[in-house]
Amino acid sequence: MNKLILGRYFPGNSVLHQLDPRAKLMAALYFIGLLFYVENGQGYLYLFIFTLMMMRLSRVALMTYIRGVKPLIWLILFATCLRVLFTGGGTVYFNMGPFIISSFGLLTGIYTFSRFVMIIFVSTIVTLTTKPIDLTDAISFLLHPLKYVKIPVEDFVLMLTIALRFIPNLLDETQKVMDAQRARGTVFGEGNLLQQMKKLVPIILPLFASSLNRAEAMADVMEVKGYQSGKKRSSFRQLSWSRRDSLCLMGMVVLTLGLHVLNEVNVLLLIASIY
Amino acid sequence: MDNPPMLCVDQVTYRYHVTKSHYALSDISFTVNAGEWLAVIGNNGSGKSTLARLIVGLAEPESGSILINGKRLTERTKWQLRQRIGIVLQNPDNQFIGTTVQDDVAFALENLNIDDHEMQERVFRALRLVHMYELREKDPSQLSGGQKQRVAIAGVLALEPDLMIFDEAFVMLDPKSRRELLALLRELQAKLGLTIISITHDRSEAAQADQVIVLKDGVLIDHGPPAVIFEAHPDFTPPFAEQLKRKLIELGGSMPDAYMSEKELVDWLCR
Repeated sequence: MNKLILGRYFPGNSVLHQLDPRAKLMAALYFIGLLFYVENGQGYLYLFIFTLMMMRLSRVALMTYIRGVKPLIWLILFATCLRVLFTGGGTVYFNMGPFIISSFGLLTGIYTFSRFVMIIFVSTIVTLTTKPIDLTDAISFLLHPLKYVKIPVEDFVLMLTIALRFIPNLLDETQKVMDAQRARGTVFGEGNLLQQMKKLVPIILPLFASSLNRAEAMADVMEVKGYQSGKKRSSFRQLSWSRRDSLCLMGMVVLTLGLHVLNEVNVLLLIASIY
Repeated sequence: MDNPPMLCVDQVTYRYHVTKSHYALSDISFTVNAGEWLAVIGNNGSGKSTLARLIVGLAEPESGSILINGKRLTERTKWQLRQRIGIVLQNPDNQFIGTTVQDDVAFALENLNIDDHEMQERVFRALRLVHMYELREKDPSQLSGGQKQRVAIAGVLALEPDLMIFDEAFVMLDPKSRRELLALLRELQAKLGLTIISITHDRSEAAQADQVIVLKDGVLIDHGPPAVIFEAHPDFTPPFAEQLKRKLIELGGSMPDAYMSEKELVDWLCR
């Protein structure tokens, strides 16, 4: 569990920590969208420098981010390989059946790789600098329009909040159940995959049972405390939008303009080279 | 009397399933006046907690009626009546809904759609009352059982209720904070005119009450002021830890006076 960086929060006081979660989430989603608008190497370099700057701003060690990419590295390499092997064009270095390694393919591979890495870096920046509860508030804000098509956004967000709130409890309980099974002679982490999976059954069943009991008790408490699905509720947590947050969104506009210029310049250079 | 009693339980009967002949509660009647403190005592399985569930409308009696402030509790009126009732349960973890202390205290107020300025004021006031204000930003995993229970109590106090129900709410607390909280409740009861129903195993808690009712196998067997009740039922079986403690005292051990939970007793004995 400790290995997973994506989704964790690192307390801190950087500029990014202080940004409104809504601004952060919107900017990050926008940035990920922007990654698909890049047309050339300069563009990727440009966005990569921006990402590195943001990582610096978060005042979280670079190593943390790299560790964040690690669990996903095989997936990324797999996607990259597919791109490399199946994209033709340019100089062909190697050709066997459907597989082809070409200069164009290699370039696309590098693009795909950096796109993936940047997506992970940017989402990690958001989660590292935003408390999960603030993030749920931001999600609630962004999903708000769905209410007009009768989707129960508030229920969904409350569900998310409670789920987040119970992660430590669940981990605690897992530990307890595992200890109890250990006391009865189970050795975890031994044997082949099938045997290990079998050993998990006596952990998962008690966890399920206790979670269901807990859910029932909580539902009672929520009912007594007057929670009714679909009823208008006020909110104790208030987000405050400041100038800083508007600046953050303005920054995204400037970033887009810069990228647009880079795209155009390349096209212009291409035209110039033809004549 | 001009005002109707705060709570009037009239010939209430309840069983968990209609196919079962066993009644969890049968023919229970009692009244609690505004500003009064009622303790409900009885053995495990005597129907104490079932009674609490009925009073807050989590279950409906098979027959009989429950009147709160003169209004009958039904499926229709329960949402409105609950706005003035708070209940604190034994397990603090299952009643902690918010992500932080202050969010949890605010939960019931959010449901009432109270505007955020007033809400903040009420949340902070309630947290100060239970001495948890400094810890308002903490999340539940950083709190002890006793502190979580204080938060649960603050959550009920923030509602500014007329009627508060404590279902074995103090069992998990250490003796010192239990005494403090009981004293605090006494004070609040006098100041705000609170009506309190406490379901308990603890004699000293029951001794604070104005009235005590004794349940046995779902039947109300006695009702009166604490002194009289304790005189008439010296034998009422307390939980295991208390029984053990009394046995030890009988055998000549010197034990602390206050009520102890099982864990505390173990800790105390191992010292």
